[in-house]
Amino acid sequence: MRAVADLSRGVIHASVEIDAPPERVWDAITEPSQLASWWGGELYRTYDWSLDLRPGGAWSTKADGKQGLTTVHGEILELERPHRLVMSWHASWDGDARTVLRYELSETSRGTLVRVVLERFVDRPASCENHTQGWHLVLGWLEAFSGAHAP
Amino acid sequence: MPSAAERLDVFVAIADPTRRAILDRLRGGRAPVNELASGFDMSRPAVSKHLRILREAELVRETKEGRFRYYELTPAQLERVAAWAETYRAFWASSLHALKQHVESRRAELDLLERPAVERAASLRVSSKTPHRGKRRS
Repeated sequence: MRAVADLSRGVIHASVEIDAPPERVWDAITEPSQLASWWGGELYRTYDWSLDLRPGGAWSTKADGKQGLTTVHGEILELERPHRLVMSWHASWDGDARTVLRYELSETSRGTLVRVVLERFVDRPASCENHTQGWHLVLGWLEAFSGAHAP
Repeated sequence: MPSAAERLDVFVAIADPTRRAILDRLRGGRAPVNELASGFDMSRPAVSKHLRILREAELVRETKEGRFRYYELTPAQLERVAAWAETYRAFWASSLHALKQHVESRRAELDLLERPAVERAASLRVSSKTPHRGKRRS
């Protein structure tokens, strides 16, 4: 399992391999009862999950934790069971952030490779491919300061 | 210098492509405002408006030397952006771990539920050859 803020690709991405077929993983990331049982942890728990699984459909959930009650909601942008789910993400604790979350599931000899890509600076959610205006610019600006300390 | 409450949100400031382009030009170091503005296909007041927003977000600083005004990047707010990235990186690392545990333990449960049916099917196949019809192992 890995999760990195990748400077070269301009996005945050994380991946994990799961010993189960893609359909099982797909159900776990789209069924409200399953989402409530894995999403969250010791710090908070999520409930009231709702997903209208079609392009343009709304999704939302509530989270209860140390920081009090928060909500996260957004829109389903793309879905192709059991391979791809793209959704916009607006979290009440994250200001005016417009984030796009992309799950990509692919079958492997061991089960399913799950890749999560998170992109924040998206002018047109449909054009997620255009990373030239994304993260690497911002992190590049920061790198310009880090100078000798840059990784 | 504006207080934290007055300061424009850094993410709002960098949500605009023109402002990102301005910041990108400042990567190489400070630049005179005239030179900065001349590179954009828009009116000078429009560029000035973007520069004002970047100043309000404390992403850039304006300095005057004689007749010239210069712009340069300031790092503090950019570090906030990097911190935001780290928060989500950590969030997804733990969330995917939880997803993996959930799916794999659920799979074990489902397999357990399905086992009697599989065994029943196996015993039926066996039963066609043997007299122990329908008999299941305890």
